[in-house]
Amino acid sequence: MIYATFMLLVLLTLVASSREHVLELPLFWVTVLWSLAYLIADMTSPLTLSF
Amino acid sequence: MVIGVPHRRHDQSAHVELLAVARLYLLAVTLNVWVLVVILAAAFAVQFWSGEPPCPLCVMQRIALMLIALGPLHILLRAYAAGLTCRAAALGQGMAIIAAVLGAVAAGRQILLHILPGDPGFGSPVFGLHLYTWCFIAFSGQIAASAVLLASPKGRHPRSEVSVETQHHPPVDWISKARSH
Repeated sequence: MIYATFMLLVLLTLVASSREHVLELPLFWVTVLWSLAYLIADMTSPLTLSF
Repeated sequence: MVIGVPHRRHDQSAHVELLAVARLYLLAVTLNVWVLVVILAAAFAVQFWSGEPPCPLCVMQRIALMLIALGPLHILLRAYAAGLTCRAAALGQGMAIIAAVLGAVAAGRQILLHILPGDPGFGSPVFGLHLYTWCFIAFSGQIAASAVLLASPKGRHPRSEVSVETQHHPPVDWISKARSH
């Protein structure tokens, strides 16, 4: 489910970029920071994403 | 305008040079997008060909690859809409570098998970390396490529050239008015 959300955010950023919308950069930052937080949470937990 | 003729000749040759540089820059940015598309297509091909579904970290790396592509796409969309500007180029390359760092973190994390001796790694290797190792190389290459493109001269797009050509230069106007009197 969370990967579908990430993909949706990427698509929304692409649409915002093509329409030169002001939300392009905020959406990009939300996607990057959320993904990074997800990775950091994985690194600091005993169960990893690759298993 | 006596002084305008040599000035305009000088500008025209400069414009031709700037146009060539801008086209070369846009070609490099387009190539960047296509390389990312090929990497993603290759990952899907390996996935469906060998029947190996991607692990969650692999999905994160693919998301990072798509996020990287948004940077060059931003530059291309702005360039063909209103002309290539340094701001659009810097913003697009910055987006690509940020997303590449994110992808490198994910790929590095997966490499470190399988770094112990005797660990077969996740999935089957392609050309001797696993997909996440290839991804790490791709992310590192993207950071280097974006840095080179940021440091390279960009010139100007034809549409912005028009505005440059038609704008008035105050010293030239002042001299030409003084000569006409």
